[in-house]
Amino acid sequence: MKNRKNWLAVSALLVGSTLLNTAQAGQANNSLVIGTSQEPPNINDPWRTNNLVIATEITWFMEAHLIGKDDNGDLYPEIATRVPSLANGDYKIVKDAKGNVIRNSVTFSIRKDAKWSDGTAITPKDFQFWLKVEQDDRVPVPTREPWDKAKITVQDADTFTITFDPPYLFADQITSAVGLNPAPSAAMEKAWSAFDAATKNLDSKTGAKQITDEWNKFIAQFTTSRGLPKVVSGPFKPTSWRAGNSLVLTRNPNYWITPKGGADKYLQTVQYRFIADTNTLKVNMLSGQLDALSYVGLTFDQAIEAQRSERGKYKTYFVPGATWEHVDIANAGARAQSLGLTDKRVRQALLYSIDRDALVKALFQGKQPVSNTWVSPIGKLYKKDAKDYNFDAAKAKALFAAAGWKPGPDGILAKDGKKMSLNFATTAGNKLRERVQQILQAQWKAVGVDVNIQNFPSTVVFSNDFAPRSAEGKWDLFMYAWSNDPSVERGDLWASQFVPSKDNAYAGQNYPNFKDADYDKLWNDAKTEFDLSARVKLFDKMQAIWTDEVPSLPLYFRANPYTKVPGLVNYTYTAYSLYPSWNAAQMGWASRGAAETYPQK
Amino acid sequence: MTTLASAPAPLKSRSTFQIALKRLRRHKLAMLSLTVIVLLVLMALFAGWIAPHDPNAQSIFEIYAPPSAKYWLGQDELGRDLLSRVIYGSRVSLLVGFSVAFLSILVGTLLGLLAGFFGGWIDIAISRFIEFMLSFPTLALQLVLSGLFASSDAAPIVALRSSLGASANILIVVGVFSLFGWMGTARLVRGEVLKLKNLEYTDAARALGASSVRIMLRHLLPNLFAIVIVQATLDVGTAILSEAALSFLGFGIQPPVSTWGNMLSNANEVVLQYPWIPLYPGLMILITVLSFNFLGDGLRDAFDPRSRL
Amino acid sequence: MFNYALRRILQMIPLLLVISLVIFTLTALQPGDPVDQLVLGNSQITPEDIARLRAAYGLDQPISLRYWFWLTHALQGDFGWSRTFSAPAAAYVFEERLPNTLLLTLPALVLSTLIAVPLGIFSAVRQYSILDYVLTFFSFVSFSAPIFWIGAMALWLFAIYVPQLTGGLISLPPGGLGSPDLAPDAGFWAVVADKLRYLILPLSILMLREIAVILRFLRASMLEVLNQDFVRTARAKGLSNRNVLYRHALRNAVLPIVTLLGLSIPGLFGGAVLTETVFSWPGMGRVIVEALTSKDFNVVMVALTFISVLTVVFQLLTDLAYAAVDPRIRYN
Repeated sequence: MKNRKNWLAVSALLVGSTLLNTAQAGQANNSLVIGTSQEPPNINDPWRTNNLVIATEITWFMEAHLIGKDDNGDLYPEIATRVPSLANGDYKIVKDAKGNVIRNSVTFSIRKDAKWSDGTAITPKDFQFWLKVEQDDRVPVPTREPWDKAKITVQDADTFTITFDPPYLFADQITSAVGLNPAPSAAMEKAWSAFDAATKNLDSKTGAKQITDEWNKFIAQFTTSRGLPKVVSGPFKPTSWRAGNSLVLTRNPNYWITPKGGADKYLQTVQYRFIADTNTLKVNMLSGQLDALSYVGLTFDQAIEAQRSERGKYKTYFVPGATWEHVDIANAGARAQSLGLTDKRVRQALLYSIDRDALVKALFQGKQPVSNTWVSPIGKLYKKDAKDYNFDAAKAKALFAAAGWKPGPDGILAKDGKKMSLNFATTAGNKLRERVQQILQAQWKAVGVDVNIQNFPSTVVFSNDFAPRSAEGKWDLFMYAWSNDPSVERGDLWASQFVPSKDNAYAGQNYPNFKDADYDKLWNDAKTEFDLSARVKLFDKMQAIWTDEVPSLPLYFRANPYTKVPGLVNYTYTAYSLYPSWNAAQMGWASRGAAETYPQK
Repeated sequence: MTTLASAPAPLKSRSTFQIALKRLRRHKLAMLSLTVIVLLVLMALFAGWIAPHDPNAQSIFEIYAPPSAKYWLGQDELGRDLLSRVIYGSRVSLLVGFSVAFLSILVGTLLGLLAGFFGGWIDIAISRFIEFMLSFPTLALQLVLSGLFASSDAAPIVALRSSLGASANILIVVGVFSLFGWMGTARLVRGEVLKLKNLEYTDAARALGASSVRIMLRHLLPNLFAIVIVQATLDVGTAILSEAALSFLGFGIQPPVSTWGNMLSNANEVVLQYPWIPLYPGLMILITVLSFNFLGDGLRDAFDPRSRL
Repeated sequence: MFNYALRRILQMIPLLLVISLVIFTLTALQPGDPVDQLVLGNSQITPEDIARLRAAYGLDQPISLRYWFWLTHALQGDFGWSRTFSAPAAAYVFEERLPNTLLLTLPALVLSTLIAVPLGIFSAVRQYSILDYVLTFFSFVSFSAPIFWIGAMALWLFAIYVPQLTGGLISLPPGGLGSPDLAPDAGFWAVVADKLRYLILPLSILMLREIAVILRFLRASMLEVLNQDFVRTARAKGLSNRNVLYRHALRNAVLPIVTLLGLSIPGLFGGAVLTETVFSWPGMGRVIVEALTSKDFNVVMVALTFISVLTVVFQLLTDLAYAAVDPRIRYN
């Protein structure tokens, strides 16, 4: 009887304690809890073999770089002593007799106090190791551009020079987005030799898969939940990672840059919580379990809704980004021809007939501005006076009529008995895109264009069988986004060289099959134009051609939403700095003495 | 002679059927459910007359507007009338439910009948096939298959997509659900046939020279009616719920077609700000599935001579 | 009996081979592969890069060869590498996900059985009593409602509304496996209490349905037995009600429940994808969907074949158990 009572008491206590709220995130212990909807397969892979945004964001907490780019787009040194430039002589351009640039190089000096988390110095060897592995044929990096022909020459114990021959257009801004991340050569050496020994005698063709398996085993020892990074260079180091649930990072005492007032006034631990369902992620934010959301967090429409429930507990930000939403039009192929899409007047009319201003106002409260070209307005290459196709149904109808498309008895445009009925694809399950798509469908219907929605999951639409095959009639309209750092824009998307086809294994990204000789010429010139103001002029002409031809319907530049609680400072980013973790060392709570240096713009 | 042989079975079944109907009429909950189902079907059939607005008419500056005099239940994520969408949504949800039930029952009864009646290697083959189908993780394969069909390059599927447009998607969902929905019926029918096969009247029919097909169609089939109809009502409910689940996982029927399933999974995202929006499709699913389950239960009792009503 | 078992086991081998082949082929036929995702957004990628990556991930081979490769390795215990989780596929599935799923599904089944069996008996014995009606209604509602809807509503209620009402005093965590900031030196009871806080919602949602299923099933089979001749005879012979109930009726009615439980064991390992998704519980159900959407073939294969093997094995075990218990069944 007594036992039973005890047992009852214990269980009552248990039930009671489970209902009571004990969790508290945040400032009390100078920690930060970040929520994200995606868990990376691995972190701190210096070669970024998985190419995922969330992996890079988390990696930056733990990885220092030679130079970085801040919220304003300005370069700052981190491992290096200074930013290379033509002025200080660390950036050199070599021209031939005709004035063409034939090679360029940058020189970095490593700070004396730059150390790995185990206290050993970061040396040129760590960058040589990175380059050696990057160039190794056995390593499955997505692309070796621009590193396949790069060379490192060591000047002294702390200084080395990277030479690009042929020259690399953006050699003066080698941030982590391009590569050359420090790789802990001492820590990895043994495992690398094991990889080398295991794969040395394998044939690169027949043994390809086996080589990749060996590579996976090698890199997993330093990058995964089952093999946490052993030494890191950044302000934080990983302490635990529970797959599917959370990742905990703690401050690295060996990190060399001390924020104002001392590192103890800034974050001591950072926790990532992985919550795949964005709706559940939102509940976590609202219920105070999270201090901030990652770059990979809520969708835009959810963020708009989250903004309505702020109640002063957190604040929602919409960071203008360089991600360009657009609707590609099939510009070539038999089907496109029969639907009139090869006629530039029809493409222009399609753009005139949609009211993008109303769309961004209704869905985004104007936070994502209408775009007129593919170049980001925050970049220096943007053409400010690009032609703006404001909604004009009359003009649209006139253009359709001029191209021979007249309304039939059912109101749908027709030419020679063929109805204008377009297949419109986008990524299924992306609710925001599906909403935009339905609004566009209704707007086109009003001018007599019948639109048939055919969506597939993103793995399908971006597969080799779908996206690159507009010329084969797989889609007529295709809505998706391109993301590009505005400072390294080259206009590759529209070069005819990148039109995907059977011959190039559908490798290009010019999905609409846009081909224009004048554009190609300008693009070719811009590619080797090392003078920024001259490149701006070339891009002005390229964008003029593009806006006249309308190979694709520009919609808007995406703003990336995130939320954070008040008092959290230096958790900021822009389209230049990319992810909040760029400034990991300075993140902290105002109440704990952290000084704000970068307010969110 | 043949008339004599066939006489007992239909007579018997007609009388059980009549008794069952009588008993069902006394089952209040089942009758209530049947009324609800009839109303739902009428709503789906006459959606065009009942719905106050065009379910696809957008009003993008009145997104998530609360209930008003013009829009009784409020407006959705594109400012469309929620009431009209709920009414039209019943079409697809019921269509999916009824078609899946029909196809599953058709295939299940046929295979169960063949296996039970002929026995031998036919039975072994069909039984192993049932086990084979049951061994698949259903939901995962439904995801794989709906993805595969929705994007397949095979000529017939491409033709289907281009001729049916948005409806092709519904067809795919129905097909995939039916593929994994018939095994329960087949097992039930097989068991029942094994029992019936040994009853006197089947033997009598056989002795009188009735062909196998005739015995199956005229003697066995009518007696299977009870278990099949009960199973069918339950299948309708399961299919409606599965469609909602598939939508929730992002593999369901695509917009702009409105189904209760995709309305619910869309609305779930804004439940905090606009709690009334997920309530409508959620309650519609609940009420519909509940009605079918109650009806099925009532039918089972009605056909069961031992139960008290 | 022994011969029958042996024959069934031998039949299982081709069955499992065909199942794995079908799953492999269907997964591989889906358009889109891991390389497409690397290519995406990488304007510098060349056809040579694509060919190289395809070879590196073994995707340049025809499906039949890939299946053969998978099968021969799988039989040696090598289930390949998971690209999305950066770990050996089998180790990841069995060590990282399976324990989470069992932590959720096992207590759900045990507790549901403990609750549903007495209620089911009561429901049958007191057929058409008020409680019987209430229980019947509860069961029907809980298997007629979309589980993700109920789950999402419970989440809002206990993670947001109730905390707001009680000033944050009473609240449940909005999904997840446990507090990541729980001190490593926290005592055993603190860990258990923390776990319980996170388990309470998903567990309740799962149990809601399972209780309903077991309850209905037991009620039906009890009623069937109670109406059978031998029970009537026993009653007529003047045996006490309690005696009849427990010595005769229950023993016979429990048999189908054992079958039901036996057949639901594979389900325990398969996880509950909807509940896991709503409560971000990293279990087997979610891992399958995640692997499917990211085309992680090795994970899909190891998880799905595992579940299939369990299903086949438990079908056999249930059949054998039936034969052992029920003297009327004979296998030749």
